[in-house]
Amino acid sequence: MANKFRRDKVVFALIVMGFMAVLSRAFYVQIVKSDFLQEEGNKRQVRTIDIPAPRGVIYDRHGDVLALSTPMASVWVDAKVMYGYQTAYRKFLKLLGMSEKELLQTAHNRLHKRLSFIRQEADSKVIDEIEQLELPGIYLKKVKMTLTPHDIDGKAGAPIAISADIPSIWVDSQQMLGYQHVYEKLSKLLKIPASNLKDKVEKFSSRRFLYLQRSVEPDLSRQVDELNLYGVYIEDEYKRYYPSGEITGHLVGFTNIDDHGQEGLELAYEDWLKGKSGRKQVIKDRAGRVVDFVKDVVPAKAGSDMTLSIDKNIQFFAYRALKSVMIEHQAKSASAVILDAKTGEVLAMVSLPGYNPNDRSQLSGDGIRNRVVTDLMEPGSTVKPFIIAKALDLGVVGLDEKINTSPGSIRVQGYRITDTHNHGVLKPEGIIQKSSNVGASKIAMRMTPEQEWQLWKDVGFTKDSGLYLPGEATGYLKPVAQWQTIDQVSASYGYGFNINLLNLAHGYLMLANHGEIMPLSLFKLNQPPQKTRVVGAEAADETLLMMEKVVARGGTAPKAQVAGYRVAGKTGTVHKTKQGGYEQNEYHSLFAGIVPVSDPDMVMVVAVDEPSRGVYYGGSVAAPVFKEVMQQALRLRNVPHDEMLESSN
Amino acid sequence: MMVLMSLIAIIQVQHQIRHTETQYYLALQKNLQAKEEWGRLMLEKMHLSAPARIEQIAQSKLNMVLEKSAESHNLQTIYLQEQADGQ
Repeated sequence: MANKFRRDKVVFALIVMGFMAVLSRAFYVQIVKSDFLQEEGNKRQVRTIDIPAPRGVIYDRHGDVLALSTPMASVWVDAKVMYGYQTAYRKFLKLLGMSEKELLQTAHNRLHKRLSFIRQEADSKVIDEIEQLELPGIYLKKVKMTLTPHDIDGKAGAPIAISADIPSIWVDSQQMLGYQHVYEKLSKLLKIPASNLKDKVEKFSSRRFLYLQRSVEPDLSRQVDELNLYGVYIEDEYKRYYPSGEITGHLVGFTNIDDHGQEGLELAYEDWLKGKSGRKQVIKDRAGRVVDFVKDVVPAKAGSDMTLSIDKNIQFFAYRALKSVMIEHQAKSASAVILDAKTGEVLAMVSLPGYNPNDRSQLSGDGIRNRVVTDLMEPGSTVKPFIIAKALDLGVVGLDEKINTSPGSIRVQGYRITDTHNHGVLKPEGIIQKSSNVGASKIAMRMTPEQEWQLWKDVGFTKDSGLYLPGEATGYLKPVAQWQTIDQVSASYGYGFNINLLNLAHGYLMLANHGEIMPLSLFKLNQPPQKTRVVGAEAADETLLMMEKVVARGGTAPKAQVAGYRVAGKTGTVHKTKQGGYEQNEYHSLFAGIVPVSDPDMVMVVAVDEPSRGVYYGGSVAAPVFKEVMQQALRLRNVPHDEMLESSN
Repeated sequence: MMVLMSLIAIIQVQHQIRHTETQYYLALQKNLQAKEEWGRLMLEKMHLSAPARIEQIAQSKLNMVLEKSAESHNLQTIYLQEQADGQ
């Protein structure tokens, strides 16, 4: 009895001990080690992937889009996986001794539930090798059954008896699609020849990451995704579009394929524009495909937008006019800047030759230079109005004072300064109208070098434009201590120092604003800028009226006249510099204008580099561009006429 | 009893949180899609309203040119009426 009782106890104790073991193990796994195990599990399937963030939008002053990021996708492959499946699949076919067509045909005809029976294989070596391939969709079974196969359409075939003695090979033809004809399938969608894809994957077969195609449209990428190919993945990204293309090319710049700014504003304001990509957690299956979305760890933060002061339409007309002048005069390059005379905002900035930022093949070479800021030049006669205004302001010359420029040349420190003709006795007005170098020199010599130097400094010729455009070249003006009389004199008619076109346009703001100047702005301003005085209002206004004579009949630029508006301007025809001197027959044609005179609204500066059709005077080459653009711009900006329209009959 | 009720309440609140979260993510998704759609439409608008395109259509289809001539049939004829009371 006691014996029996004891056996009970022993069994009970054993069971209890067994349960205790299970429980303690469960406790250990579920509670003590749970964090570690969960983490390990997550490591194997939860993946953190980047969410791309779009760059900010760039608008023009009327809210039209100049640059925009749209969602795109990249198709990439895990070349190692893909190549591995390809070789394994070929090996599988070889082991079976079947062609792909035969295999597919058999699979097609012998469907049983989800799987297709291929055949039974007695050779254990073959079976071992097939097993080692680890190809998805291929199964080895040892079953005894009789099945009635169906083909895909559900038609029943002759029954087959399978014995359990030797393994039978089954395939899932759906799963096999993931590695059959991958190159052909991809080639059809991506429009890349299949052989290229194959070569690429084979060449980089050890890589785990290989871009096949970037900037794929979302529709197409979805189709690629739906192919469910092993080792082929889709990555979301953004592509930058520039709807106005070449017209705003230089100013806005462009980004590279990784969405980083490379030129223009895209580069200058990279930090502002760029988005901050976020991260999200997803669950991936063994093949690396996303099966479930867990959560956003860090949400993507889109870049900030910016509104430029550019007017897209004025920019277009400037671009078109420059393009036609380039062709008409076979010029090497041409550029123009248009400023809002009242606020200093840049309304348009065009440089030619240009490029289309949407076309990657064009993004190199000479065309990408924004010549408005990168190219330095001597401004020539276009700076004479500054000297006259300053002289009037200082009182060293009177409005009606007569200055003798005969015989059309003077000598300063042994250098001969000449005019095109002998203009005889000229008033300051005449000096501007006839663009007399001798006259300007004589007036400059009445100032101290410090006074003249201060003028150039005040109109901003000694510093950059403050717009932070990449590649901007800062002009060079000798320090006043090094100035000799000849430097002072040649500066008065625009030689002996360098500025870029933007500097020149900036300086003209002074003449358009009653002697005051304000900083330039590429962004739309909400409040009027701070102005600083350069010369007295009276002197600046008088000079502006003199400049009107330049455009009047008998001046150097009657071609700049705009019907219905009073135009003030100044031409410049500058000999290009060469090593140690000046080119005899290569010129810069310049025109700077302010319109309308009664209440200046816009300042435009045009430069045409090396017009080579015989005509090279600023009044003949650059002035017509001014007229062409301004008549459109004045209309677009609803500027009231300040002159009677001549009857057009 | 109180413990039981608060346990049930916790479950209830958790459920609500999950529900709200789902809605939030859906709204976020919708926002993103709307933005992308906006971008596409904006690009299309910019393309259609490009000054060069408008100019070309105005000139070729609507015959809007600055030069008036008989060949391009864009001259306007104004009839001058003789006034009734002579002169």
